[in-house]
Amino acid sequence: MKWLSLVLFLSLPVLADIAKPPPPAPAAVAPEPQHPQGIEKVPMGVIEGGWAYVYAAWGAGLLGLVGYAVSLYVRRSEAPPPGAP
Amino acid sequence: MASWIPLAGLIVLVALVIAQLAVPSSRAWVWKVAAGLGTLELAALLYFGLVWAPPEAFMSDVGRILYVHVPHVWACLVAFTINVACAIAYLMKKSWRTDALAEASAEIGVYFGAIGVLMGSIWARPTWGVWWDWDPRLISTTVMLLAYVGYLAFRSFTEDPERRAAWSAAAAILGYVSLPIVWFSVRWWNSLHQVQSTGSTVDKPMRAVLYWGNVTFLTFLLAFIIKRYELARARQSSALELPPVQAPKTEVAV
Repeated sequence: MKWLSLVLFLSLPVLADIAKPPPPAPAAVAPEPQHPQGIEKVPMGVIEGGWAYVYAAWGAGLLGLVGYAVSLYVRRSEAPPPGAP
Repeated sequence: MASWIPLAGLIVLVALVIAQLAVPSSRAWVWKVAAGLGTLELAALLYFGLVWAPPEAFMSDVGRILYVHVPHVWACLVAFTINVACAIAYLMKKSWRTDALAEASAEIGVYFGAIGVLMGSIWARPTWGVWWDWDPRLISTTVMLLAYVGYLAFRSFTEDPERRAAWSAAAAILGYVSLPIVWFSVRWWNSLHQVQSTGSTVDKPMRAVLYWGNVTFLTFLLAFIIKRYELARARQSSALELPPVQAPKTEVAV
């Protein structure tokens, strides 16, 4: 009986290891947002500034519209009229 | 911007297309109305896109490139779809009109696509950190544009109008195969480019401005196609009325 008590006493740390851990404490901060497609982590941050890129892209669009319209006008005057030799 | 406003613009655009196709007397002024309307819509887009629309959640103001980048690419895809429809129609029933419309839509598709890619490159720099990346969406878009540049080059180098029309119609159908690859590339492969946005991923005010941008550039697409079609028809008429070009017979002295 004395030996059995000794074995139980010595195995207590082992039993403590396999015992269920206490439930985790609720997180103090909100969990990180998840990507809709299931990607684990998305770098979070906000780009600051960047208006030069916005103006460049919109400017390219406007210049493209004007440029293509001018090219149509120029080619219109170059196009041979129907029936020309 | 109320969500019904882009829809109203789209209805007006469809009415103009119907007038152009179904009412011959309207063909003198439809392109003028489309060009004027497009200019007004563009002025409104400048305000709504650069001032009124809220900044994007992560990209902040850089996200405003969305309102011009996506409409350009959509206009490009619509133009290429018109091109392939004309190519199929030409192969089913030979018509110089469909051939001219195919030429016009291909050129305008290349124009809108090239500007769209340029805008995407500008957008990539602050968001991806690079001007260009060999990503499936970017590669497939480049291949698609190069295919249509080749189509236009083939048309300009071929002198026989009938052979040009028939062969380019076949080339147009082959080139159009690249379009679904471009569309689905972001889903089929692991792409740095985002997947297509849906109504659930874009906030309502941003969606309304995006649709307004689409209506704006589709209106310009209509005006451009009408004028480019007229140019193609004028060149066609001129080429068809000319006597066939024959190589001069020369004798080589031995």
